[in-house]
Amino acid sequence: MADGTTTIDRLTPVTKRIDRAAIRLYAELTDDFNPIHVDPDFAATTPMKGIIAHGLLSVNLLWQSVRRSLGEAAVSDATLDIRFLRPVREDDVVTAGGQRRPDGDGYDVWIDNQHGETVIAGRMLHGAGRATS
Amino acid sequence: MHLFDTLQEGAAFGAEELHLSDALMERWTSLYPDDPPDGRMPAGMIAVATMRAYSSLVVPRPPGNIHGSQRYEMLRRPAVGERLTTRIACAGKELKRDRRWVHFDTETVGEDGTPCFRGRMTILWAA
Repeated sequence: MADGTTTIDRLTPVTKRIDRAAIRLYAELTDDFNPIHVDPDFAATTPMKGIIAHGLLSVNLLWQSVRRSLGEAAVSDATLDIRFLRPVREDDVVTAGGQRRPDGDGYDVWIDNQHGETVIAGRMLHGAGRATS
Repeated sequence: MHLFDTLQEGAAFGAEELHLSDALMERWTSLYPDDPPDGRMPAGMIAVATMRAYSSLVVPRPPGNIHGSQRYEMLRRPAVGERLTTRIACAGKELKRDRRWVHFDTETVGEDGTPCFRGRMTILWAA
């Protein structure tokens, strides 16, 4: 595995299917039982028109992508700044990845769904780089 | 009920403890089997500490709030078995294009009081 000083251009993609069981388990882990995540009847009445996953459920894939690509040290000294752009719906298949920024200051990171739509996007800095964020 | 109009910038909601127990770690790895058991908390579990604090301390909330953005600063990964304490406070609120946004700051420290991670979450407030 790479160490924390490794720099590569593209982070290793990590993929996961977000099914209802995963959403339920994430609700239990985080104690976040917002009905938009766990109550199909309530969720159907919202602008989302159905259950959506917790945004942070998918974000762990970003951490995994960084760990696989750059090593544990890069994870233990990182700043992640992201926006949730689109909902992740149950049974979506999401893929996390990232690209080294042209200025060399960290990585642009994203999570795409199976339709190629970006659902989460942001930036990850690690080491001394985050001091300038 | 914490409504947008009544939430106050700077309001502190208290602290929530999280024990990184073996049972909790087993539940986490049942969801994410690829997170390696290296004796340290997987980075994604920042969300467990901070969302539990939000869920249990910022109550009651209107149903239907939506997470808009999140910033996490990892300072150190705590050890499995450690007891963490997370504090949460309202960092501000703003009305933009008829949408109600509320910002919360979190800070999580370990048993010895040293910081483990910090966060800023922004929530689209439902009411």
